Amino acid sequence: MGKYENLEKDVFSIFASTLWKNENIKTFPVNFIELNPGNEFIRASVIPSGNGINLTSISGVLIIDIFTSAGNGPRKTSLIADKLDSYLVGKSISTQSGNATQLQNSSLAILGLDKDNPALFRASYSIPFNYFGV
Amino acid sequence: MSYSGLINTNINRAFNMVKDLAIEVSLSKKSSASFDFTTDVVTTVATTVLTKAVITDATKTSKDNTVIKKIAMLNTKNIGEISSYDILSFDNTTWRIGPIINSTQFITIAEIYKET
Repeated sequence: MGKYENLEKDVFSIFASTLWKNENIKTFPVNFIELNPGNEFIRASVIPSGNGINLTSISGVLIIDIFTSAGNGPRKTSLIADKLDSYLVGKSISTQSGNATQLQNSSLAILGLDKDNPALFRASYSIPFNYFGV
Repeated sequence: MSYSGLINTNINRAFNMVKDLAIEVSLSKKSSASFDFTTDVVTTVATTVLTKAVITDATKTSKDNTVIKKIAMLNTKNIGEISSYDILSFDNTTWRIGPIINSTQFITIAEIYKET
């Protein structure tokens, strides 16, 4: 497997875990259309757009769009972001022998009402990462 | 008869009156979809609806003329809600549903796409 696939597997392994599933936060990847997403869900995009320290490494940012019901204040967004922090910030993930994805500190941008569905409030949680391959 | 029933009756009549301009199509509708983060696999459940559609406005949309866009007009009562997951088939070709131009309780007008 190449570095992009390994990186995706590392990140997705968090959302595949039983612990995360027990959080009951609907989670979807980018380029997937959920037919009935409801009013509270997150959508994850792995963006490996930066340089790595060598040919098998790469850096980038994991962006997670957080959608909650519009009109209910920002608290739910903050709670979901904190929950994401507990699984991501400072963590090192490795699903393949010799490879590792190291996540750094997160930030949260409030984007307001979703332009496609104004019944949803949207925020963008982002966290830089470094992927090290062998 | 209710007004909505009256309108639906006349829409069905209109689709019949335009004769071969309304063609038989098969709409494969995804009723559910799920993504497995472990296997990276999307699982969908589909149902097939046979109905009539008026297909218009064939245009080529990409710079190298490899993408064909058409406009499909369908009876909403026959098809229900449609999404980008759904596939329209006619004349032995399959088309992906694109943006919905307009959808009322009576008529749905959508862009459909396929690669040449």
